[in-house]
Amino acid sequence: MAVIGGGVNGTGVARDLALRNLRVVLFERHDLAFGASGNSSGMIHGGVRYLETNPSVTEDSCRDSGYIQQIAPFLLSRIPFVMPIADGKKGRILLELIDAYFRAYDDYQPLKHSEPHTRLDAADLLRLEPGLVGANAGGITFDEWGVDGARLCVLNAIDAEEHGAKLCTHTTVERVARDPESGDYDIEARDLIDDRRVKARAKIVVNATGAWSPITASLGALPPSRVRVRPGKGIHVVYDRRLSNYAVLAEAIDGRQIFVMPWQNVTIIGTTDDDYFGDLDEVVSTSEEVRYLVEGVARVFPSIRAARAIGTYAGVRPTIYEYGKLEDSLSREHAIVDHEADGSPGVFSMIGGKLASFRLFSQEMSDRIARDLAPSSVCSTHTTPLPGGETETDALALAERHDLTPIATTRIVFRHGSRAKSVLANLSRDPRAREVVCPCEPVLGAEIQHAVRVEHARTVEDVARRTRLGLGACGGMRCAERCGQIIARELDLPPSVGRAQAHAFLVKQAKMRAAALGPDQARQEALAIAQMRATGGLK
Amino acid sequence: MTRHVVVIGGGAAGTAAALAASAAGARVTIALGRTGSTSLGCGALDGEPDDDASRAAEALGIYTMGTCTLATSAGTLRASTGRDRALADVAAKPGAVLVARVPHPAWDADALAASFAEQDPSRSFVARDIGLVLHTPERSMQHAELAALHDDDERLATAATRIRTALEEGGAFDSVLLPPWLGVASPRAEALSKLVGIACGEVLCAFDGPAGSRFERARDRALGHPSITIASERVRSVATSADDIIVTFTESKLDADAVVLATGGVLAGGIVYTPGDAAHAFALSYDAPVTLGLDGRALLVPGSIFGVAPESVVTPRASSPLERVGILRAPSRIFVAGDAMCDRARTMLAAFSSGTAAGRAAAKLS
Repeated sequence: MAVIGGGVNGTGVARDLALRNLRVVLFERHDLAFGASGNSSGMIHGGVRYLETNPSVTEDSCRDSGYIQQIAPFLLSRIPFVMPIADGKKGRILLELIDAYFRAYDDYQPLKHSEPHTRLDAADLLRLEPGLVGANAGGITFDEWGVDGARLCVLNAIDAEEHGAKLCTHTTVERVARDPESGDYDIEARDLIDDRRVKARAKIVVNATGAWSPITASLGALPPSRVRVRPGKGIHVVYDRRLSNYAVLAEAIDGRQIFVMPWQNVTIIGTTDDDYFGDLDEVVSTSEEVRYLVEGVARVFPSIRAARAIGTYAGVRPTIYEYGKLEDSLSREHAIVDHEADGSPGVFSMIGGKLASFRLFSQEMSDRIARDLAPSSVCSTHTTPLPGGETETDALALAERHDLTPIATTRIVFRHGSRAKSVLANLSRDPRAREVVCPCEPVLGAEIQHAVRVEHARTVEDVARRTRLGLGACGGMRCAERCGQIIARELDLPPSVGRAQAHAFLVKQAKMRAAALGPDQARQEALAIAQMRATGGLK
Repeated sequence: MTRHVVVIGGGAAGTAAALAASAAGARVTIALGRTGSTSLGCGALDGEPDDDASRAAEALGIYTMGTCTLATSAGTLRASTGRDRALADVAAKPGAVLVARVPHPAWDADALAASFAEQDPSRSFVARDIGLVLHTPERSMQHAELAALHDDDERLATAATRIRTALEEGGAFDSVLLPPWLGVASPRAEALSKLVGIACGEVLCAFDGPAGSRFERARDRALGHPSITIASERVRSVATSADDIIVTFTESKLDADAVVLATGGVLAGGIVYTPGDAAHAFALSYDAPVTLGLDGRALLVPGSIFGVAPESVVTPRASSPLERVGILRAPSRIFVAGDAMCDRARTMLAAFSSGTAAGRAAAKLS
């Protein structure tokens, strides 16, 4: 089996197939979770918006959210939402309607271990979230689960690998050709870091490349129009701390629903949904998009204007193609395209979908493949723990055992579950492994080593994706170069390569931050530029 | 009658201006302000070494002029036209370099030695344990705190002993590279070198190092001249009147014959980025009758109620407007120096040079 694409669908399918004892090779052009999967709002939500039109989607979403909690309890965190309802002519009626709507949603909450919704009057609303402004009729709260999309992809990929799959990251597929005799597919790929050629032969090829799908299809001489997607760009702005108690829903100027949400140790606001016609490898947020979000959020949560934005991120949704519809009204459904009709039996494209439904989508794809190749196999991705989900781990005991701060161990357990023990195992062998490389998080040297040795990180950006190194307030100026040194040593690369990686990361982050630049951050940017000049990184 | 010159800003430019104005016979008041790019500086004297700049740098007693090669904490070797005396000039000695390995999280001697060796394959950089960390709590100290410990003669002597012990393990070394720990009150590299017998110096460390603190100590010593007063309040505004200039502090006012604005650029906070709510993308952080500019002309009112597109402000590769925005024009008797000027190189020597010129001009104004 060859799976192309290291997002949540690609890694999900690779894991599912590997758990069925099928031999899998996975190719990813950039890094795991490079695209939409690593740049989403980070939610395994229950599909509340489908409740009216398609309640079975809601039920499936909630049940799957429950499954993901079961296989990786450490990775999920509860995100309580509050939806303020503006006072006015329609306010009271709207509150009744929404209250009733969420009463129906409550029925599904036990599936995902969430609290039922509550209805708030205006005073309660303000007590829960003092930062809200405007006359409100009241509000409701409901409960969803947050996830780190990049971790989710990495853990799926690692589990696939532990069940025999081969992972090739930073390896772009250049050609897929069918051998007319055997009917197998020869795949030619190239490692973009060391320019090495990689070849593989597979019976089945799965195109799980999200917004890149039509491009991938054309490499296999398939008509790109068969896997048409309508790329929808979404950006988020990141703020330097948790600004609210609850995730707060707001309305953008065009009536779209947007939010401000505390997420890990930061706050994010999101998201946009705009047709995207640009380069998928270089998706950059613009100040237009940032202002759209800030203006919308500021109507209910005005202190967002004074908050310090420390970055943005952007991804492109692989929405199923439809012409003539507004972005928001497009279906978030997914579909499997069987390319037998195009003369390529055994080649499938996975298009559409969303982070929250990745496991179901992967199961559908794997069931379809297994139907012919391993008919007795059953899907076990919802019952087999992801790496780290096997047992519960006491972060405080780990802190005591390794003489680390509880903050450091808690976040390692949050990211690695019971594998935290193996992340920290290196502390006794290498005294430098306990070094705090990124103080914003904090990220330890040991976690960087683990990312490189076990999680296929090959660049500073890869490490950042897995550990959140350099994504805090300092923007990497305190840690990127050190991280580059560690990677160079781990992978036996010249020190200058590690440094070049660090600078590439810093430049990319600066570019992503630029769109949200505010007064305080401007000073930080000037400092970062001066630092690069001082150490010779910028001439 | 003695002229009264008020200098605003206590970085390289302001200090040079105060010293030059005082040397030219003026009575000087200097307001030091907050941490700016000199205080955050790294000890490298970049820029063109003209006479004014060299004299101002040397007057502080902690710098030495002359082309040199500095080893940085990022693992690079880079040229400079002068340096803080604590910093090692790697080019000064031709032979093998010993890089001190110490148990400190912010110092990986092996990675640095490998990185330096890659850049200069003609010589060897060898990492070796040197017992410079004497107590466990020192492992969690910042570079500048450890540098302050080495102000002490006894501690420096201990360091010298430990370095000599390491050198005795064998090999021929011409110099020793150390973490940025060589003094805060003054650069201690020369004293240490004398004790050890070969050249010892620290690496350049951007912002986390002690070089900025050493500058501040040297500045405070240099400003201890009877004709110079240090104002402790912060400046709120500078305004011209018919025959003098009024500088308003938080609680008091001063009349000056001339004023030098050495308040730095965006990095120092002298200029702030003001998106959205202002007519221009940048503003001075205090009131003064000056015009800000960029690329040789005054700032334009942006064509958006939301202000300029911030993407145009941060360009990480080439020179960013954040590094160039500054004061374009000022009325007579108000002089501008250092990073506060637009379109000038943001270097120490440029700041010393423009500071000296501004201070002299302010003092001599007829």
